[in-house]
Amino acid sequence: MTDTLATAAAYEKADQLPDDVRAPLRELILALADSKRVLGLRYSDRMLGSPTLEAGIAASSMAQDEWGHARLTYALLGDFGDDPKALEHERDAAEYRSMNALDAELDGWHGMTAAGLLLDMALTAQYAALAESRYTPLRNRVQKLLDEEKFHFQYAASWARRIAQVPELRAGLAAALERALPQALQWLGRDEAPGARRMVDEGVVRDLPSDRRARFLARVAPVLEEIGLADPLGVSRDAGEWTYTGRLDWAGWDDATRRAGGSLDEVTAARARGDKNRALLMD
Amino acid sequence: MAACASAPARFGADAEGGTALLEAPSAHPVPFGERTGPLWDALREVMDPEIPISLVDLGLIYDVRQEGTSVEVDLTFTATACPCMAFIHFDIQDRLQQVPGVDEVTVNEVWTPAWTKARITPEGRATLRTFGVSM
Repeated sequence: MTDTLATAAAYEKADQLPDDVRAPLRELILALADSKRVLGLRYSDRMLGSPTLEAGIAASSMAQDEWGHARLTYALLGDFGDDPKALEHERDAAEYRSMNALDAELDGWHGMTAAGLLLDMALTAQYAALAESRYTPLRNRVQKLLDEEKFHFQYAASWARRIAQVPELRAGLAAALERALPQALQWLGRDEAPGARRMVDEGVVRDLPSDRRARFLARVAPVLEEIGLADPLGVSRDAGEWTYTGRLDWAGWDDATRRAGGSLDEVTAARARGDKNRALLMD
Repeated sequence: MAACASAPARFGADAEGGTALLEAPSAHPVPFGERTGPLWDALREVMDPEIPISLVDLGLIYDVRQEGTSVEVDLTFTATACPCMAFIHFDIQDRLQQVPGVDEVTVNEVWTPAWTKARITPEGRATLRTFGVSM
């Protein structure tokens, strides 16, 4: 953030934001909220059949955390003129803007570990870019959420280290990480996306998607290197900077939804909406 | 990793580089010694739904203000996904509306500054110890 921006007045309400910032910021918040909600579901699927009882309990806790983060994030959209309750409980599957990588269930504990290490941390990298936002309602929620995410990272990194040491499990982990990594990197978006640079200029988001990718890699790549999978996954270090040498395919990519087609299935959306619990919903 | 009063269990985690949860709290909440009067007394009777320690002693009440018959409460939680959030809201409103002269109660959820264990009162620490929660 520049010195000028650091002293600039905060945006206390969404309607104070310039139009070309407000619209992309709303898209970003919705994509974050939907991704958190579906990630929580995917974690919850691993509560049973986990490697240990404690791991199942941890999956439950992480699912709960993600739903807490989703709740805080959806609630922000009321300031943008949306009805957060309708967004949470009344949309069809095709309207969800959750990560493509979360459309399918996680592939066992390998998938759980890859999601924790890569997908969750991509979301965290995006939230971190909002921690000093000039848009006050958002900034006020992010730090607590980031504090909680530190535990998810530690947990996923610990499982990655443990699984990588078991010869018969190592290949499964490598495959899950290989699937998740490009999707995590891509979800962080394009610098050329409408509003991406304006949000940075206005001090609403800290940096551009490419910078965010670098921050994400700086966090996860040391773990990948430690378990001997950085190189096979196309992650290398050059002059202290971690880079991804693979190719991100932007064909069909929608900057607003942060998706490349496809959609969440209706069964998962029904769970995300809480259809079976509708009678228990509270304000 | 989450949930109301059970959250202190996570504070022992050796987070890389530390975590804000372990840092000293910043200033927003009303200091311990200034939590006086009928509204604070009433809130001391509102217990966390998971462990019988009051919301005030747990440090979840940052401020309470009255204007006429309207009361406003600034409330935080130990974790973003406390499963008892709605119950806590209801309990606060229910108890404060029993205070003479109070009709309307508004509860504001506050996330900044974040809750830390340093916000637990000495009485709250003693209570937690009796339940076997290490501080």
